[in-house]
Amino acid sequence: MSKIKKPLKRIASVLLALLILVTGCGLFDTGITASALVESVNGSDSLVRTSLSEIRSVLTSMSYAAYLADHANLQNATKTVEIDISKCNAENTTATYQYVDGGEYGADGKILLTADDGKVSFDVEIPDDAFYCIEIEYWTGNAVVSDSSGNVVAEGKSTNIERIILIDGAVPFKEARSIKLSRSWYDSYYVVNDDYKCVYDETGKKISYGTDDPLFVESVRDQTQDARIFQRDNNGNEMKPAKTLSPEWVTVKVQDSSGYNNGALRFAFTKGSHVLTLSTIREPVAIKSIRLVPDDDIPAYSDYIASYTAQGVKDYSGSETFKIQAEYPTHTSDKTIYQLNDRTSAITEPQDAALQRLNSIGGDKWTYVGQWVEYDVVVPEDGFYNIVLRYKQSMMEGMYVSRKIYINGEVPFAEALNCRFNYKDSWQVGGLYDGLTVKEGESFKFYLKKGVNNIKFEVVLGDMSSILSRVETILTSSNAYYRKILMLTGPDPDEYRDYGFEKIMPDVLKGLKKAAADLYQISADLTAITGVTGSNNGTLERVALVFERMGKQPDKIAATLDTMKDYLAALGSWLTSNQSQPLTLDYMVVQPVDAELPDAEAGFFKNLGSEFSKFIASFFSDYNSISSTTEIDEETLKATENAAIEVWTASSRDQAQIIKRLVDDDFMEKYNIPVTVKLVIGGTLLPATLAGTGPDVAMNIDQTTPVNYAIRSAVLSLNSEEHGYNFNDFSRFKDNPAYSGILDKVSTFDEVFARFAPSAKTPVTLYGETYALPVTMSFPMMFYRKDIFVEMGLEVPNNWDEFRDVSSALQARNLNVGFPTGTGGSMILMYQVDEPLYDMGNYDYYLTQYPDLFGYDEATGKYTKNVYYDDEGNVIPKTDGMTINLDSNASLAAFKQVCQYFTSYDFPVSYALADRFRDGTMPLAVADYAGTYNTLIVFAPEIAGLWEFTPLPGTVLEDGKTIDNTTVASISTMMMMRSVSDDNAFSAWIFMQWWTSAEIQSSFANEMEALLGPSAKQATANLEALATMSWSKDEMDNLAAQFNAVECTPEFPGSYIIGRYTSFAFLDVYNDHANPVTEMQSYIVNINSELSRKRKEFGLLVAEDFAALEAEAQENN
Amino acid sequence: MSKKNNETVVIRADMTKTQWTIREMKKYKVAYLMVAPFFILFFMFTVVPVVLSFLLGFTTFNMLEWPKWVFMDNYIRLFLDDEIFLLAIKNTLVFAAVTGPGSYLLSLFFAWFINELRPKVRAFVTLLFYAPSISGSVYLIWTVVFSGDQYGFANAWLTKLGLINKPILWFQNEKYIVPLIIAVALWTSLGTSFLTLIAGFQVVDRSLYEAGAVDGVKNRWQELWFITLPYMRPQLLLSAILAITGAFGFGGVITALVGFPSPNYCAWTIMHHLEDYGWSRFEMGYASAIATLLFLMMIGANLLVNKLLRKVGT
Repeated sequence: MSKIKKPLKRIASVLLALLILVTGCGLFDTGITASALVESVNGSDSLVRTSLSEIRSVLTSMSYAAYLADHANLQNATKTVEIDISKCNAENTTATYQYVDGGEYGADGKILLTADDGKVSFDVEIPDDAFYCIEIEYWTGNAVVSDSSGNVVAEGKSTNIERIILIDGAVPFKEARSIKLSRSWYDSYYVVNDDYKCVYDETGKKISYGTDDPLFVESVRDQTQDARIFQRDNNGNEMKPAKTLSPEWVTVKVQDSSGYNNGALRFAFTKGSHVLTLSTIREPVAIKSIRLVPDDDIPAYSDYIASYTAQGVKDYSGSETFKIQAEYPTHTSDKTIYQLNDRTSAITEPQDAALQRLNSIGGDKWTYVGQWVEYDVVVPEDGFYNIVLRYKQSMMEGMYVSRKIYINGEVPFAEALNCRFNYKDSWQVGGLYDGLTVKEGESFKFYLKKGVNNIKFEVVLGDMSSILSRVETILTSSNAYYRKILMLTGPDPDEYRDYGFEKIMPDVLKGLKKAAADLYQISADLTAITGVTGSNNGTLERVALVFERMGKQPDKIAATLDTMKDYLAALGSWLTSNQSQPLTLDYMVVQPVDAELPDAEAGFFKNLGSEFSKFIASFFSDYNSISSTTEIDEETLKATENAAIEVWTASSRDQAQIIKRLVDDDFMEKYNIPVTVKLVIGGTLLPATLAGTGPDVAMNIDQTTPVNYAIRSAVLSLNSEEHGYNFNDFSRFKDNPAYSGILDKVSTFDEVFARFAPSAKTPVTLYGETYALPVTMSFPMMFYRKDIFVEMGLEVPNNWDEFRDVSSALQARNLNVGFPTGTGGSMILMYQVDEPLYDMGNYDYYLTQYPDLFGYDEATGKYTKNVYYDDEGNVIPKTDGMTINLDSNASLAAFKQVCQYFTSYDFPVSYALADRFRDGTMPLAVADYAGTYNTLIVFAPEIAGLWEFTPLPGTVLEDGKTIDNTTVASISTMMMMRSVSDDNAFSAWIFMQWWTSAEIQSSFANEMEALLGPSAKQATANLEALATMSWSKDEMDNLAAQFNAVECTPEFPGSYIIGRYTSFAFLDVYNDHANPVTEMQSYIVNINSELSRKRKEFGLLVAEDFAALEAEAQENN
Repeated sequence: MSKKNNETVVIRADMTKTQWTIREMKKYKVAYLMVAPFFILFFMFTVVPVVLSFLLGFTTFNMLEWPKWVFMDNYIRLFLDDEIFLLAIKNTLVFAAVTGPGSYLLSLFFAWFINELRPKVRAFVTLLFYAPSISGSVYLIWTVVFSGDQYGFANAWLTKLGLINKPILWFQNEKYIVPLIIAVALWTSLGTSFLTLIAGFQVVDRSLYEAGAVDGVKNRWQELWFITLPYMRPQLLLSAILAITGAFGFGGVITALVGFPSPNYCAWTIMHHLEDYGWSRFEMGYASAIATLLFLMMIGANLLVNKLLRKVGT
């Protein structure tokens, strides 16, 4: 017995040990890259910073509701006032503008083009004191504006146009700070054959058509369930059509883009002359006319019916119904509103058990105020019809979402301003109702004229708008109260101290009490609207309770401050979540008023059958292959199959799909080389390369990997024949038939690197050989809250002295500053005084002092080992990176400075930036621009326009004037793996240069934004592509300024050790108050010895070689 | 009966050991067939890698190029030229010495106590204690409690009580890391070994207690020591192996809590060292040498525990 037991135990322990080894490895393979170190570039002093006074002119806390109340006795205007836009008020105009003949834009007469670089103003003469609405006729296409000498200064980027409206130089109310003019998009379909494959014309191009084309009109109007017009891929899945900007003239009344106020905004004017100013936030625009018009009187539903009935209009007499599939809109406001594949119901039309059918539209892509979708429907006679939708609203539990209905461009009656869609977790079918005049289950009837009618659904906040607007006002003011209290007490107030709030800030106490009362009232109003008391009321009332207690019992404030902070955050997310109004549509039916409704959901057995067939189908469909649409004929296949490449990307499925689409649409068209894109999980690259089954090109690789792999010969050089290929010289690929005719469409290595900031080459280059191309580049910039800076009278800091002053001022008021810790921060300071991370340069010294080490041949005067030649042909020893430069005086000073921020100035080491920036307790932070921007734009909509990011503060150079505001960037890369052969290496290069080109980077960025919304901004490294992305003018100027001053750290063998020891040094200083200088110096030895050890492994020169020679020389002396 | 007579009679002494083995294997081929699927998988994915890893320990191997044979260099460097490895051994041993027995005893005593409860309550309480280890990464809640942010739970309370006035970076400060990690390790340790022990307590034959009472067992301690524990020795052994391997291999949780590497290598274990060389320095040969040592250490600890467990009940 015991004999058997022993080996068993052994085997068990072996097994367990192994299991632990294996799982341990799994746990570790993410997040090992210790190096937090990045890269850099050099000084720009042309900073674009908004001055304090400029910010102040735009900030106003007056809400529209208060504004209306202030002008309560003003009448709606009676006459239209046409504004003469053919003359700008020169004094108040700073933007580039230009008058051009409207012909080019499909308009008669002159039109005004204004660029995105300032404001334009117009004089206006008002006949009476009255409220006017502002009506603008603008072009939804992209405007191109040139200056007087004909240079293009601004070109539209297809994003929404955004302006600030000022009257007589001031913003009348805060809603006027962001006026958005939407674009219009349509789907471009390809003509397809019976197999749903593209048909090509005689020149070999795909034939595309838009939604105004008769082909679309016919296919959609004569809709039967089987008539599909989407292109399908090789697997049979339907593919989304591309969205195209639809350029047309539209006339809109200026509306509140936050949606808090339904209907057009009213502006109060007094009799006499005024100046109307449009100040740019985003995009140039072409304007045909601006008028001040009286606000419309939209009739009530009963009047609407009565007036048409009086004209003899009757209910539609026929029995026919007119169905439009929702996936065929004629226009949408955003390119993000695209067709979706719904698989939640068996009767969503159409449906396939295994394949993707684009059978619905909307969902979480159609949730923001102002987004609209429109359809054309043809009816046979004038009359009243019901508009019935099959829709799903399963995201806003206990709430409803709202849509505003336009028929032929007009809101037919007041109730149509907010039609409701109630919550249900399954699909619903029903007519339109508002819940007040017409209850759920009944529906409005609409007058449609004979022929084509246009029906538009626009996202509005509906009855919730006033609630949300009131909550936002409370949130803004309470955030200010919180900051005021915080400034007095600090974040951890003493409960037992009497701060004397009654004396110091009676207004805050009063405000809190008022806010509490308002919140209770809002909660009651909410119940009245939704008819239920739910979790939404809970949030509001809990907050109200806290405010009430704080207002009434000031001695409890200190103890409650923490709770208040949490509740403010809760209120903020309540506001954000209630602003989204998601709705998915399956189809729309226009039908006789007394017709029965179609089925909302399939019956039990139908659902069962459908689910069962989906289950069975799931065994047979390959969800992982992202299939190609292009079929290549046999001959071409043969010629190019050797040149085919495989590309791996470790990203999200969405990204991979976009890459695939771009490859099919663009790459194949241009180069006709087969590319297989594979989506892999991170960490597969190394084992796959080891096993020889790796890809030819790897994408989404961090910046340390290329050099690390290259020194182990797993990655090929892109500019040298010795360790790869030299793509500056295409001659060796000329004769390959696969590349005939495309060589002139391929950029050389040098041309490609001209696309990026020069420093982007640094991390991917080792001793003259470059092993990868940069794809994205991100770096820290300075984020600050404009409103708080204005409130405290602070100027945005330009250099570190000012930065320290501002920090002190903020901290004196108990506010915080965010800053990268340790070397993350000190590297910025180092690179601003041109101190690199490693010891570099000094080449002549090495070459002349130690000629033997470099194989100097006196006869020829050539060096034969341990050297390389740079582009100019200079000989350079491979001595860079032997030792670390963190022990130079400047580096130590920088490190000490940064440590001081955290020890003496108490900057927090660990913090949630988005939260603290939002509630204003951290109004200044140095943080990565792309990530922070993306978070704030989605996470904190209520502070939109109240913050911006600018280049970093700089170091004042010796001349006392120049400021070097260099930042240190990190990049992501793509590299060519050793799996390529001579046959397809050039294909890999073609792919790499194609992917990093401006055109593709910009398409990719736009597609990502289209798919994931404004928070998916790509930090592309391609400067030209960056400029075409949807950054506003100011943002872009700031980015460009910082891009002029960006550096990257180089990568050398052993670089992983640096981040590790420097963070030890920082933690020692922070935790144990050690001396930063001695602490850093104590780790230098460890870092250098690891660098040497790694260099020896690869046969590179190490510092000890020189030290030994030097010692020898001294001995000989 | 007649069938038996037809068979040739084979005597063990007539043949060599190999012949005998082959004969026996033929005889029991169905059994071998049935064990084959498991054995093949076990051999391919466990035995072969272990052997390979052992061999790689004598090479330098950067995972991208062919390994180079260097014989004992890796081991020499490990013991003579790698201070951090020695630190890792120290940490691992300290860690294993505290959490191994600690978690083992905790499991044992909790299992014992819980065993006394009524069945329904017992099931519930078992779930309660077992929950932290079912739910995978649940130990991450400690990063919330001991967040370095001034609003982290621990920091906020301590500030409120006036004990500190600047947030402590709990998981970034050498002073606190090791105690915190050990606490978390103990907290998550009521895992499979705990369940095994509970099962062990259930299988003890009740009649033995009566017999024990007759034979002069005076109290519950004696009952536990002389009857319960000896009876459930297999469970004790399995549980001990789990506790030991757990304690030696407790690297992932540390990384998740304090990052990689821990400040000043203060919580650096052999697992970390192995990871570091294997994945961030691309020195698989060296990492294999470390793995081999870790493996030997675990086997050694198991033998020791075996010896100790034999003393139970004597």
